[in-house]
Amino acid sequence: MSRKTLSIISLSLIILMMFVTACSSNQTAAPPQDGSSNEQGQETNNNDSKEETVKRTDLVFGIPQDPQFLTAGRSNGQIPNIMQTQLYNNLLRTNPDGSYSPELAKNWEVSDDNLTYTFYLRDDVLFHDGSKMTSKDVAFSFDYHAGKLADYPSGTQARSFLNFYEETEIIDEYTVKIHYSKVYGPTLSCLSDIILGILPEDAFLSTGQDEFEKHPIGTGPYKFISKVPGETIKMQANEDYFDGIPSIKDLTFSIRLDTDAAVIALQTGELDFVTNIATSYKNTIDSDSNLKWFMTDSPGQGWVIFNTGINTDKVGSKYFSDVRLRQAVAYAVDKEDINIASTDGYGKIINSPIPNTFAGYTDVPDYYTRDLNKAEELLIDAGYPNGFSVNLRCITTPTYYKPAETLIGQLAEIGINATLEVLESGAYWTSIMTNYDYDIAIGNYTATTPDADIPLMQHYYTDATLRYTNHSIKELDDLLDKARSELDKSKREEAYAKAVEVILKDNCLVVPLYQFVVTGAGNANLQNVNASPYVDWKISDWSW
Amino acid sequence: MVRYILKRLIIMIPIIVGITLIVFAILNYTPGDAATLILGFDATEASLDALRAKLKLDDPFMVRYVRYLVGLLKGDLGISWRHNTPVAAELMNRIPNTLGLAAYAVTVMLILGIPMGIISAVRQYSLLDHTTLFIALLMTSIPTFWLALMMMLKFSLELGILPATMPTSAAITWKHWVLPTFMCSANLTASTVRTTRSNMLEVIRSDYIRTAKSKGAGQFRVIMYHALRNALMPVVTIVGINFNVLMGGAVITEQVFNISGVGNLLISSVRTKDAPMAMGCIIFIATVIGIVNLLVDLLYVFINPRLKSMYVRNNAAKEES
Repeated sequence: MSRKTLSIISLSLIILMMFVTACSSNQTAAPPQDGSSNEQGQETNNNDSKEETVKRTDLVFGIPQDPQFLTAGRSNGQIPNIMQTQLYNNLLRTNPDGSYSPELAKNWEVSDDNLTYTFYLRDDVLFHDGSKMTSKDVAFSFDYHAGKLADYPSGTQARSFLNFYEETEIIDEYTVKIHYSKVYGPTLSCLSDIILGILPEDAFLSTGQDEFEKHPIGTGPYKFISKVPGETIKMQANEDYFDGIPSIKDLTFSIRLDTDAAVIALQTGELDFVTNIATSYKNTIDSDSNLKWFMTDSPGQGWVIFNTGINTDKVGSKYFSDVRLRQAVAYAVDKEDINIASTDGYGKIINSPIPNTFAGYTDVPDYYTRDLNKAEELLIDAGYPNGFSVNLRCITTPTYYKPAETLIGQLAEIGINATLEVLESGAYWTSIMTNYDYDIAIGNYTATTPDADIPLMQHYYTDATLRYTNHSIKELDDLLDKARSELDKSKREEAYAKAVEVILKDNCLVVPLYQFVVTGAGNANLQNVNASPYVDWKISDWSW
Repeated sequence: MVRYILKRLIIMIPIIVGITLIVFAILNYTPGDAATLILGFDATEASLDALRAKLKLDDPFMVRYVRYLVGLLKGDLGISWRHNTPVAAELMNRIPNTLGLAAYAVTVMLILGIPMGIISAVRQYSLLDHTTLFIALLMTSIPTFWLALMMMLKFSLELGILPATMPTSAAITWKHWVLPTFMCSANLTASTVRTTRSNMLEVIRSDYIRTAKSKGAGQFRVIMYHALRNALMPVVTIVGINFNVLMGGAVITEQVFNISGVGNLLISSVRTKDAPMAMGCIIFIATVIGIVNLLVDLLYVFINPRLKSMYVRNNAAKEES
């Protein structure tokens, strides 16, 4: 009897204890005004006052994945961009308003026929190994990126930013003429893309690509120190940097696969900054007075993509080879809901496959405003009055599966029974770009050169690099060809508006859904941190 | 006995070869072209072919597998496709952390789990017994990654007494190991407590314990000398199984705590389809599991000499025939 009572009491005590503990840890996770987190704040403030005498000069920067290559041009993507921003420079850079500023070049001229670009280089730029940056390095870098070197015939991923590039003529030590074979509208824009960094000819050729990769050298604000694959990349301030010596001296990139743990590490001060974290963490960050949230619009877009099989030798989807069924999906999609599910509503709904900040963008109507009746009519028209079942493919990352999950519900409303198929990225890419064994999928892309030519040529030209939608449309190719060699702004915009009409209204190759946001969270004491659309965090501008 | 160990070690070889075959086949036949993954999607066909030739990817599956095995026999695990560094070197950097964490967790489990199990059994139905059992049940039921995050919130963020993740610049101190060790051992300790307790209860009620008590042996001596040794057999099995669970669980623990270990390496290499690296990690894990199983079997013999006589007799019988 007494044993029983005792055990009941003890059990309830323990449950109570658990409850209390659970509550208190919840409080630290969310609301701002609870005692414990204030205490934490004071603690950190105390630390700060101690540190004011000796300002911090180090920074631990959390990144969600390991960039494959550090050599300029060899990796394209948001995380490689962050690395290349620290290590390399371009001849010029694009300002947020679309104008250009000098970087390694002091100034430049464009020939009357728009085929030759003359760049006058700075004479005070040193590579990290102490050698001078001169014309021959520029010529070498472009030849290397473009695949004009016999030893590296495939060039780098920067190749697609050197369309119609012919050669670089060395006029003198600090003057180069870059020759193009055809007029190409976005030339300057492409030359300023982060991925087209300038590499040291001597250092590169003396070791070769593989060895150079192990100790990359550039002209950027930070020097490469060491790398532990999958874990850390260490860099140090370049004390000879031509554009002001960075205030953060020791820079460590820490690869954090687990976002929850990374956010806790940020809160405890083990990390100073984390990039690309999901918007769902915004509340946690905002409620911690020691942390600050950074966010801006990204040119990255998410779409529904179809295996159309239009005029190609790979057979398209059984269902979505029929434009009516693609349009039915387009009418069924609720972009607002997908945006909320994917970005907590911080992203923007889009109607065009061209990001709205890019040259060549014009507003286009939403060709398929949500209309379930129209969708059902199209289904009946196509011979599927009772709908059908398909697999919806996506990758394990949230930018893919979050919109996919919402889309499934929306498709069910018109009787399309879609099953989510989450694949490893390798399998996914093979499926949507090589084998074309998919029906419908979620796709996305982030262009880093603000010109319509890049995203459209990458996806919609016949045999494009990222030809997800398995099509070849002559009219579209002609429009894209015309637009890229057109220099007149309004004529270009006109051509691109027409191209978008062909892509969406006539063929419904994709359904544009929403535009991403660039996110980052960091210590509130960090000064001068600015989110940029291309995720190129300029750490050299930061200070404690 | 030596013969037995040798025999077991030799049996391990086909097992590991079998595992390599399965993993090699999985990595080979899952979709995704290795050359494209390495060079990126806009690589030219020529450079893709060049890389395929360099990595000899065009050879038939069995040819490549046998080549891999031959390399393995020479102690060559190959070169990582993604990082272009020797797999063996990357593994060697990470093995101490993975094995270290497992060793800490097993130590904690033994130090806490066995005494708590004994006390629970001896004081059956006491408050202490109920509390212990309740906590043990809780720890077995809670998913470890969730527990880890809660522990981080409590001890790192709220109380600020322990670091949440492994440092990248500063040196690793014992403090950094506390939370990962706790997380790894929580589940194991709980199952050890439960197993020890139930076995102890069974043994305590057996006749020879009553005999020991009636001949006047003290309570402590009866429990520690007479009962424990017999109750420990299944516990050793649990330790062995759990060590193996730890090896697999390292994949989660290491990711959450940002530990530079084999599990973390395995995840990233599978994600990037870095086949040589993934193979290296799996071979390591398989070998450790094989060796631990062998050690467990040997421990049985140590704890229960009756088993030893069995092996010896078997061997003797074979030699005669």
